[in-house]
Amino acid sequence: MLSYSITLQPLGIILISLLVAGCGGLLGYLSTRIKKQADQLVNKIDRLLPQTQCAQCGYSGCRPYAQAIAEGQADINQCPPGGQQTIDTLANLLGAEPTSLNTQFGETKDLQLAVITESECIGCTLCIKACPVDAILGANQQMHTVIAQECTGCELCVAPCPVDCIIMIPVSQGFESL
Amino acid sequence: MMKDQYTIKPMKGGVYITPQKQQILRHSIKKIPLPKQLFFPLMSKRGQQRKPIVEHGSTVLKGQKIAVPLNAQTVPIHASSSGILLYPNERHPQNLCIQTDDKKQTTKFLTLPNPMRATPLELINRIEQAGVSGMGGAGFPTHLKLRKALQKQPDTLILNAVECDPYTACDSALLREKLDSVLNGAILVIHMCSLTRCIIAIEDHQTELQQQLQQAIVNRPDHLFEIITVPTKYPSGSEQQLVSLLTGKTIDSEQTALDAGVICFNIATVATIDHVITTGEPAMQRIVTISGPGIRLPGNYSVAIGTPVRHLLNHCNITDDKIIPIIGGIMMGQPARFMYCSIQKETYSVWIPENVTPTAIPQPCIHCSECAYVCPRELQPQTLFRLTKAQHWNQLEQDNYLSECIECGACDLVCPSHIQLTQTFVQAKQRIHAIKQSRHKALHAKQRYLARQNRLAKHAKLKQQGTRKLKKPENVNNLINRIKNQVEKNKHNPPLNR
Repeated sequence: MLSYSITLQPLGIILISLLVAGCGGLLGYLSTRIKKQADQLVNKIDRLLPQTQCAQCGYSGCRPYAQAIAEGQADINQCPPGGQQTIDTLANLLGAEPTSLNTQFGETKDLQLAVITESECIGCTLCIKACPVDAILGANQQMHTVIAQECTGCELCVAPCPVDCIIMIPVSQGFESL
Repeated sequence: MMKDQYTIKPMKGGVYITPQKQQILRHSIKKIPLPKQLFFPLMSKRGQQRKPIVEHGSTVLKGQKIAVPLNAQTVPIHASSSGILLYPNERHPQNLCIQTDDKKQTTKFLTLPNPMRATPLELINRIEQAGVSGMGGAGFPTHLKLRKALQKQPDTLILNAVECDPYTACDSALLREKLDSVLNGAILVIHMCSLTRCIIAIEDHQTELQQQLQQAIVNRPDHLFEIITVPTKYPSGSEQQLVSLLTGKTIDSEQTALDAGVICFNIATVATIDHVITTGEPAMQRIVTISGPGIRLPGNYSVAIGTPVRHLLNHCNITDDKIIPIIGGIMMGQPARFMYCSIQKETYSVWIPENVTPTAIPQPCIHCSECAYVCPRELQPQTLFRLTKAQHWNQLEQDNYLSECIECGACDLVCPSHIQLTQTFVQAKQRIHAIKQSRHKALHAKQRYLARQNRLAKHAKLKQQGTRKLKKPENVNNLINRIKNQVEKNKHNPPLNR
């Protein structure tokens, strides 16, 4: 009887340690997997945002805001450029109740385009540093200009301009603007 | 490859509508006098913008180019009469206007002495400059189709004479009166794309025309042409439906007839190609059917492009302003609500309703699935309608193939609840297009944003490491030695370009 238990002991140790190692591995795998899913949610939310990087939501860009929504720290109604449509699609994705836009973050406007009044530009490069999508071209002491195709209309360049020479114009479809 | 004449069965889906063409074809084609004003929309039917190249208020000659496309996806606009050009204003937004005069001054037209000796590319360039686009309703630029055909090398030309719209007979009148022009145009297309045969597709109820065609073809020395009759059913005259009927291959929304190994033209387009090449004039005329219960004497008229629809109605003694005609066919047309709505290259008919009747009020869908039986694209319109109302755009696009809808209007016709299904689908398509555009724009902005973030991070890292310096200046002695060596070398083999 005694000899029997002694012969089984090493096998039991091996079995149990294997079991423990297996469980640990499984848990480790699951933890990375679940983290990935959370990342996927952030990506999904980020894809629905308008990517103007305007920071009107109170976060530094669209992805940080998406992160905050995924973590439950921010509401889905803080994106003025996206408007009601973005809120609806986000609500659809997250299974939340669609609400109206929180106007303390700003109001939805039609698509705009920044235009530099070139005669007034002093070439300070401050707007270039502010533009999140590199849509402004220019150099120190040289006139700057906006690449109209790349401008997202985020208005981030308006405030830094020391001579207030940047105006926002609505994007129209008429042939006069072509 | 091509199916035999006797094996052509009626298309799947579709509706049989009794053709009303006898009365329209009673008289020959009449000419409508020039109106006081001509209107030309700057936006083409397919949504491409054009830019005027003549200044506001200047005098233009007949045949002069007045607007050019911003990209190669559409055709230029030509003045179809001499007069004074006016830019768009509140009275005619998005439309150029010509105040016509009766001087009848034309620009010089360059004719081609022997078009059959010209290279295909030369001919296609001429067609592009003449602004020829499809005249069967869609208005696809002809030069684009021909250029694509040069790449894809189809072997058969299909001449589409299937006028499935029951109230339209302009193509029948063209075949009856200008058959030579059609056949010559077809020969030109055959020459351009080096094709081997040409099929003229025509509806089976038009027996007189078939006989006339048969006589004309039998007398020709080249045995290129043959006639195939297609069972009368709406919308078998749509290019996609006709090509699948004749070749047995289905064509989805991203394919064209060229993918089935054929090239398909409306006969009016082919006649215009002939006119453009032989005379050197741009496309400035077309034949339009005016019909419907609201007109006593329907008929076919030769109209200058840009003629306002109101002018046509006045010419036919219809002066009631409340009657809103439908332009572009009873099934697929749009109401001409404004005074500047005009006849364009793709406008084949003007349909006049009897009197001002209110449209039937749509009732809820009763799921009778009549629409699914008549859909020529084998879609489920009732499901599409439900999803559109619920705004499930993704599902509409991916699982239910909304983009396959050809907007033929067969489902509207049979719906017992009078639901305007086609209109709903057109709006849904526009909405989906807008969403896709904004998504695309967002993705682009994001890429630029990420690139900028990367660049700033790299910059900050280099600054932190202190390696963001210029290259060390070279030792002065080394520099002098290097120049000396160069001079020595040049002494032995002097540079050639001295």
